[in-house]
Amino acid sequence: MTHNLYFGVIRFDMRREQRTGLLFISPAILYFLLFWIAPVLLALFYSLTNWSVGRNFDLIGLENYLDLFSDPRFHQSLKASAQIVLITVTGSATIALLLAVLLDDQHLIGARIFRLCIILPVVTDWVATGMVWQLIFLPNAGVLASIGAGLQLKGLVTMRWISSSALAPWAVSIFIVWKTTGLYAIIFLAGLKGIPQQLKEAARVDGANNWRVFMLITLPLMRPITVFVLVIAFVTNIGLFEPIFMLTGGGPADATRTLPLFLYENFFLFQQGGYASAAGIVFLAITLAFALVASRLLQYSYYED
Amino acid sequence: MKTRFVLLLCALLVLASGTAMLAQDEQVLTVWQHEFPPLQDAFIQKWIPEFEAANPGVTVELTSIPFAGVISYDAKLLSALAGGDGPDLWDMGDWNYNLYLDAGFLAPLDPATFGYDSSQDMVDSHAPGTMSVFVRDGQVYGLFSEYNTLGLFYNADMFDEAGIDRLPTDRPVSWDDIAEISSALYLENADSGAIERVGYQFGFFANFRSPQWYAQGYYALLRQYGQNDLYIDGAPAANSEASVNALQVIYDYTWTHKAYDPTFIANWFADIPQGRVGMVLAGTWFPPAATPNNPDWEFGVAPHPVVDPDDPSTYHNIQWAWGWSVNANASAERQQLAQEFLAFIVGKKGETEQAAWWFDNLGYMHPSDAFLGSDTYAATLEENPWLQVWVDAFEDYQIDYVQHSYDQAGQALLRAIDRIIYDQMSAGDSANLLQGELERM
Repeated sequence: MTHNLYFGVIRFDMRREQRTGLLFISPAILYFLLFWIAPVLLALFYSLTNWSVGRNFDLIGLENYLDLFSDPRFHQSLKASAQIVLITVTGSATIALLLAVLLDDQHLIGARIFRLCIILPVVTDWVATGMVWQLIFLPNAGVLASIGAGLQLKGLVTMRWISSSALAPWAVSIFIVWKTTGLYAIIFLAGLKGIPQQLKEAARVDGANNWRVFMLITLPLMRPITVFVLVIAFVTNIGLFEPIFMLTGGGPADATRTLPLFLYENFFLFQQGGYASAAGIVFLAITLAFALVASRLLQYSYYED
Repeated sequence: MKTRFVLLLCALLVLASGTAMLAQDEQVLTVWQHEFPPLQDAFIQKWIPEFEAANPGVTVELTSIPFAGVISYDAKLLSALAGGDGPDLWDMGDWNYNLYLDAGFLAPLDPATFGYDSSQDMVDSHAPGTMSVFVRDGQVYGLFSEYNTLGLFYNADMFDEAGIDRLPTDRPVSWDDIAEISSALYLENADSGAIERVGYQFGFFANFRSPQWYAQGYYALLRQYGQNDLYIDGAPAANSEASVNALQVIYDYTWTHKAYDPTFIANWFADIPQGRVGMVLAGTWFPPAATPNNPDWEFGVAPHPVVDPDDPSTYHNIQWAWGWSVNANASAERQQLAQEFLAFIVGKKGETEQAAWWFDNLGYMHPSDAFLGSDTYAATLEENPWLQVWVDAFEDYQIDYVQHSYDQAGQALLRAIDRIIYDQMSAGDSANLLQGELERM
């Protein structure tokens, strides 16, 4: 039995199964519309206004966007985001791949324990671990400082990890890489398990050593997984708020004030709802652009044929 | 069947009307406060039970919210009020008052509820200038939760051990003197190079990046050098001589004298009593907070340091306050109930019992004439002579609120100080960058 639905000139035949399917996914659609699409549309609208939280507003066209592009603090937040995302995405993806390859060794003793160890940071809380990393980075009396004292490395004892503009982005990145790498390692590991063993064996029969097998067989076949990890890592890391807020609060002197902190500050501290909305839309555009480009790459797979 | 249905309907109607009548008799007052355990305890153990007992049918619902959480107290409060909601009564920092008054969030307080003849009477019944932040167009929109101005606390044992004379209590010392003492107290481990002790601690440091404390440190210096605000006649003046001088003091303390290290401290209330920091500017709440875990420490108190002790025009101190305010969006009935509860917890005109309780238990001073002139306060002074520094401060110093802390200019100031204390940028260069930022706003 079918029902005909007319949308303009296009006619859809809806089978009972399709309608049932729609019914089942309708909560998710509603959730998506209410909590994802509607806020974006609202932000888009407010980005065209001079809305200050708690006050009336007027439409001002693209003025907020023009202000953004001439605002040195917005430029700094783009720079901080780019720096931290670049370090963390490349860092965590590389280390995760390395860990996955090590854990993929069937002869590895205690592989389960190692897997548990690398996933542990992922399931911990950003705020709690942020406080721990504050103590790790604390000069003079922190964990790294104590290690430095034990090794007679004076430079490490007084190193201002989270309180110098040069080091703070690195400190934040180390924290993020530590916290997120385990998840990507598990994803890579799943990908490695899916590579047909006969391809590797054939290569070895042809005389390839482990390095060449990895470079010429494993790595190309892992491309879809790698792209997936890079996209997930990018989208996650560019939107991270807690680790930076906990460790540096965006400082010192804006060195780690990434886009989410810039948005937060403008909205909640300065009450500039219109301006923060415009920054949010630009933020969304950047994330979407990266995701779209990456998703085109993601379609490419050696498994297709 | 039909009879049963009618009976059921009637029963439901009776039940509904009974519930409505009960609800009419019962009033719920919602109160928000920033999370501060002693204040929470005071509400839960004293004020709420006492008020509810004195007002049958009234329930006070208290919500405590972390001040500096990921979504901070201020942010939650603003969001709630902007949405036409929010608590009936809440406390907040003085930096919010202008914005909240502009937005119309605050209901004026009724002087009669608090036992005063008029709003002006409310203002005149407190130390001069202390109520200014709560007043607009002749009406009062807040009353003190806490009031602060600063004195210099120091670890007296540390001074004695280092052979440094204790500081005078009746006359301020200069910033230069404090720097010299701090340099003498600075201690570094010879083997590891780790700093083990610093002489002075500003109220801003790596794990406590409070815009208020940045502003307080800077504004006191700025005013002592002769400029009242970052702006003069509405125009930015961040690279003026006074401002550069103020920033230069911060630079010298950090880099030239090694008097201060923003990365050193880990726990403000422990580092000073436990001998890791020599001196700090703080309010009367410092001993109640520091002493319970360090009962044996001996502290000294001196007036706020100044640029030139021989020049009284440099005697400037800052003040800040937390105030209680009432929601203008609430119904008239709830506004009245909120004001009655507020009068209950802070006391009416001439009453000193509650103010004394605040001071004894929380270390918060209420700068009302009644309390400052009360026998209770006189007895407290006799018991704690160090409090005389605060009494004298009202006579000797010009004390004002800071103009910019949690706003854009305050954040720009925070960055300017960060550039100096963390990246060793010169005071002049940082002041010029700050000036540029303020001009763009």
